[in-house]
Amino acid sequence: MTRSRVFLLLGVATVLAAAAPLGCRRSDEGKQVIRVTRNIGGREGFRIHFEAWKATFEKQNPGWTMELVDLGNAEGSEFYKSRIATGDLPEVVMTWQLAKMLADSGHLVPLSDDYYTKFGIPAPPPYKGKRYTTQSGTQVQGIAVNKKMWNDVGITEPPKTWDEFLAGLRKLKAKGYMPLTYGGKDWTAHMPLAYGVATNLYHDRPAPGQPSLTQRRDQRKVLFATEPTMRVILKNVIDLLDEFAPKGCASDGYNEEQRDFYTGKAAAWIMGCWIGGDVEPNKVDFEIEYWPIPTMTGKAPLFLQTSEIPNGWAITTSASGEKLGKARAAVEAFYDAEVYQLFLNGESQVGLASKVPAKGPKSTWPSAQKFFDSMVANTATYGTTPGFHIALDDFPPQNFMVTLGAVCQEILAGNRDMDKLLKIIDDEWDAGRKGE
Amino acid sequence: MTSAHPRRKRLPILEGVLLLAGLAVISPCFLAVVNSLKTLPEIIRSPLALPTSLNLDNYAYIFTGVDLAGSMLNSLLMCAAVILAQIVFGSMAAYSMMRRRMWGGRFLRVFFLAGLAVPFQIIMIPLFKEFWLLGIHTTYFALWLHYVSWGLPLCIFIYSGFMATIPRELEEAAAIDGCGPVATFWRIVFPLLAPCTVSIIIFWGLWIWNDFMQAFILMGANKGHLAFVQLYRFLSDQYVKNWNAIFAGVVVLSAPVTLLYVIMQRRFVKGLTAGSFR
Amino acid sequence: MALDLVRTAAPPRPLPRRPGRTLPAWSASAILCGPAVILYAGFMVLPAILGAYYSLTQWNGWTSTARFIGLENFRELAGDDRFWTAVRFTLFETVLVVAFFTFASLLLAVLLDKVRRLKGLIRGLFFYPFVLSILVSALLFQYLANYREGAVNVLLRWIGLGAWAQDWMGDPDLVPYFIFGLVAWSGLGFFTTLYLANLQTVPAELYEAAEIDGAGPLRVFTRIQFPMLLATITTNSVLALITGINLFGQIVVTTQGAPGYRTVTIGYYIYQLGILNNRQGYASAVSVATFLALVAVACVQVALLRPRTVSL
Repeated sequence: MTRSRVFLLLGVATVLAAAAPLGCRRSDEGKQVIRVTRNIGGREGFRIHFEAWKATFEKQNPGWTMELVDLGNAEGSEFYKSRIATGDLPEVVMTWQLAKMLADSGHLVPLSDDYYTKFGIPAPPPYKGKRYTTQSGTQVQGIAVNKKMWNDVGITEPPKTWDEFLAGLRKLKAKGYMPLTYGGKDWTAHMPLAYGVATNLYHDRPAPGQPSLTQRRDQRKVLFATEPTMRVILKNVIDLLDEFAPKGCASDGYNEEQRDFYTGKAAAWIMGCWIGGDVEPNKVDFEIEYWPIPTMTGKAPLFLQTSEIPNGWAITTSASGEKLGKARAAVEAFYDAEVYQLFLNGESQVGLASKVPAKGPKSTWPSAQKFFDSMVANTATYGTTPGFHIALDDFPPQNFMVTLGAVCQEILAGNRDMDKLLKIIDDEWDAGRKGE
Repeated sequence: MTSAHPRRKRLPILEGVLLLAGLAVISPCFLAVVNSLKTLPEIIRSPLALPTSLNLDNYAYIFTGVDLAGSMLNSLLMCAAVILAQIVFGSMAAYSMMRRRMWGGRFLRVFFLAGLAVPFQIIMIPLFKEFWLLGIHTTYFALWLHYVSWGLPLCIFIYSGFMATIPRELEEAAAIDGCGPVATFWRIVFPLLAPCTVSIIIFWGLWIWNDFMQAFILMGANKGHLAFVQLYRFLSDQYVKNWNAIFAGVVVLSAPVTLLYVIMQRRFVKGLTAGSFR
Repeated sequence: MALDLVRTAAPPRPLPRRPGRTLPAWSASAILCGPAVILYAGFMVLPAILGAYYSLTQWNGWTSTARFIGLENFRELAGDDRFWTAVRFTLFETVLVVAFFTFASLLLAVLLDKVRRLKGLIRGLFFYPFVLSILVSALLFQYLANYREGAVNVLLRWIGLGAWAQDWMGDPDLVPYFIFGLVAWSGLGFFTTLYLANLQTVPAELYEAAEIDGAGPLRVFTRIQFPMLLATITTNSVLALITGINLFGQIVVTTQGAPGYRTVTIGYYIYQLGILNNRQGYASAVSVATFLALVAVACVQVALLRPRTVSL
């Protein structure tokens, strides 16, 4: 065998071997693509909205399409970080509080003020002088209740204190109902504790110039282990889980909670307002109301409101050249009246865009509309607090919710050592800050 | 593989017990198949009962809801591409290190051997970064590079061990006839390595087909175009733990392997354990 | 074992060669070894070295500046409660896994060896779970373990033992056994087969002699089979050790470290730190430390078992 033949053979083998994986089928060839992230995670309302958004964008921008990058039930920080490492961030990303991380690493393209004035959106608080996000709507968090069951035990108004709330749950249990649906496995585990922290430790907006609890904690002026209110919160959550966490819930997650509540099994669900968007797709046929969160420290019940931080979708630096214009077109298509209405329906949010005819969530499905009405009415009656969603600088470290979830799981596991539990929160806070 | 027990003693009780134990071991798989033909309420009501009717809805759901067929094809292509490279490069390297006087041959043997112990964690992130620098991040090509380099130590190990059984006379004869080392290898030695090659095909074919973790991490959760990553995405996306759909997916993805296993069980087992029993 | 290949391979004799049209030796070596070496060095060795380098830095994994901080990560590691909890859990699982794969598989292999009639079928049944992907086994086990709808609990309730129904995956006392069960189920066939293969090599004469002597099965085992199996016992225990220490995929698909952080293994902790918590430098330090420890333990294990290996 001659040398050249050997090389030829080797070359052919290598090329063949390498070409096969390269030839593996990819999706979405042909059209120009703007990739958009969204956490669909089994929520039909979200999916319906995205389809409409995509259709509108395609109509307005022939030859272009929007590709969904589905983050499932995750918030995407993991995904974004890995994509940043490889320089392959999608063109339009949903930010939540990650706007800070993304902006700090220089991956966001600011939105000019005319974007906000065009649609009448209150400009979100700037981050380091710039604004990046679509600032979608008013998201509130409270407690969803099965009205009939609560009426059945004689409670027609939202409980005024946490103790009243627990008393109500006891009555429900005595009547034979499942008082609470709760999943201890996934991200849902943190909800009761997160509510407790946000509505009690961050109840009052700090006066201008005064640091928030987050900032004081970062400066170590206060620790969760030493803050007396934190112990009250923890004790109350322990009581709640002790008495009312369904047996076996440590292996249940968001999906099981959905199933329990929408099939009319559970009387109460501690979850954010976006559940309203799934009422119609799940054909719920009973009345649901949305109640404020009772506090544990004697203050009036209220809802948690998460709209004050820069939120919504943002354009990333992956959208360069022609794509930049198209990405901007995509985030403008978001505020198309029909698309925005579907967004409000899916997320169950009140609209923030004064120039867009969609004002609040709507549904022809009676149960869903009643839920929306209850949410809007109660929010107006009881008011809201931004909790730690005051500004990006007041946001806890990224792992904070996971930590709170872990603490709840520890409680489910029987851990009652408050010092240990609080130490976990403190240690994880510090570790979380180290990674930023 | 026949045992050396001289007389075939009949031990019916032992055999019966072991048979039952074996059936118990695969009972979860049996549950998966049976339950994939039921609806969700049926499963919840009676997991062990046989389905009331052959309900193929779940399979339809799996194939329409997620591009499982396409992803299976991708996995197959990836398997083929990786195995081809591993067989070609691995056998050549093993031959060169074991049978030729090569400068650095001893060093290379240790070099490759060390790779058997490296855990994925250590190289996970630097590899990611390296692919980015090369501009091939999250592509199938990058995953292919990883799989091939990951599998080379074991391939070389298996081939090396077998190499000693090839009689040198054959090589000498070839050399006298005028074959250079490379030609000698391909013409004479490689065909004799067939048992090893088969083992490797089976071992790595199965491994890559089944692989979830490394594909998931290196290609990212949202490029779910290899079979199991696709299934994982599909599952984490679901409203309810649709056990019926999960089982249908599990059955579909495990079917090719199961079929091959049933047909060529002996070969399969030999192939999978060849590397370790030395 | 593997090391034998390095030590005892006979130095190759140079082959007679006709000068002229054939390739010179070095270029033949380059062609033969080149691709493998390049791929391996480039995509296994280089990242490993980089990984070791990153362990000496503070780096969050997605900005490009990794700040060199010397052994600071290792110092932190020494005092990291979460790490040591993960180590304890991993060791617990590893002990279970090693014990099971070394001894239970051995027992099973000896029993299977005696079977004649349905040999292929029975062995096939035990081996089958090994052929399934981690994702599949984990899902199957999750289904079995689910508190409300899982097969185990539904069965228990059906036969009236509902009181015994547990949250197999959520109860912190039970979840280590859940994970162990998953690993054991998947791997049993593999390790058993290795023992079986070794058992094939026992010469028939030994069995015949034992029968003539009137030895019962127990003596046959202790005097004949066990000594012959020592090499495989060593191999299996090391493989089981590696399996146990590297437990990671199973955790990702089932518990993700829950409840609390109690099922976080070392591998999962590295993943959490690196990918979820942005601490790549520290994660690299943990993986380097673990790797070194694993190598040390494996060496000790092999050294302890080696002298006892009987060669025939």
